[in-house]
Amino acid sequence: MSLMRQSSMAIRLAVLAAVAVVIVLLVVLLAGGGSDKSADNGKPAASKSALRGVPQSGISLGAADAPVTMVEFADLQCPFCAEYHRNVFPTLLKSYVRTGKVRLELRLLRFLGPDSDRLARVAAAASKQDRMWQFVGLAYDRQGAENSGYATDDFINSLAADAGVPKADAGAAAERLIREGEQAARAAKVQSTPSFLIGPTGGALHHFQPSDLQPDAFIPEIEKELRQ
Amino acid sequence: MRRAIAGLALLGLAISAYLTYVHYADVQPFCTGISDCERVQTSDYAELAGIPVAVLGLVGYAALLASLWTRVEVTVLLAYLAAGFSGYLTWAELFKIDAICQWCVASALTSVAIAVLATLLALRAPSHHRALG
Repeated sequence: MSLMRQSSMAIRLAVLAAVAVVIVLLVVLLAGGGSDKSADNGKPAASKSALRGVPQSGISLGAADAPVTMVEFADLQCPFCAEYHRNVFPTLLKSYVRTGKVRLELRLLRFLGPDSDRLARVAAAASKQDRMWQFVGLAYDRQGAENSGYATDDFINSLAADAGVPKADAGAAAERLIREGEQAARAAKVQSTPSFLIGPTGGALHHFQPSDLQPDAFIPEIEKELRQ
Repeated sequence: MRRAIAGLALLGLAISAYLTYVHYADVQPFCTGISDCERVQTSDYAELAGIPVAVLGLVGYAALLASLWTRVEVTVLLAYLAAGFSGYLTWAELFKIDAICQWCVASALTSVAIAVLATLLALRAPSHHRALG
């Protein structure tokens, strides 16, 4: 190739490189790569995929033979429960649930109002398809103002569809599951949400009151249980 | 040179295919101790406009492979796009996610190697002989 042709090709390559840079920048900026909210209905991508590969059965998340079980009593309208889910749950999921050390159970209550009831029923129905934790994560991500009536049919149907349970049957079986949870809450003398029980899997669980809703308030208690 | 690019594109295709499988089969990727593939794969950067980046990689490498039968400029442009996008994802891994995924690093290196080879190919190839023969 002659020197002239080579330099002409070099110019062409420089133009192609510039075009490539512009296209990559445009795609990243317009498609919202890495933003907290994806373009897909405003749900964070993490909620959709964070549970990937984690065993889930009914209301429990994690290995059935994990040495420690932690039960959470929550109301899907409760802002502190959403705070726990945002601040603490990801750390527990990564460090203790994925590693097979802790198994989580979620008992949904509905004492705050009708929105809680409607959400809890569909969450219970999702548990029958082992997708409750996906539904709950999205419900917290999109939580509305307490008792504002935000949990409309459209809202719940959209949550269910995004959680992978488009045909959740929130009928009698879901109601039974919620009542079981309410019974467990009464037995554990739960006064507020979120409340926690912790102990050896299959053994006696005890009430655990974290000092705040940060991972550091949970980790020492979990480590203590793991040592026993 | 074209054969080397084709080989690397096939390697990229295999990596993307594995990561696409991992994404849709709901399983954890095989990962060495120094990587945290799960954290990268479940981060906000794992999707672009709702499309898994693994799928974008699959399409990109397939297009690169197919471009070897077209003008060399097409290969170069696709290779630069792939390298640029890989650069963006590597930046995200290092400075936003604070975790590295070995599969993503392998794909990034593959795309950079393809970009280098495509550049050399374009500079060396005579204008009348720019398709895979």
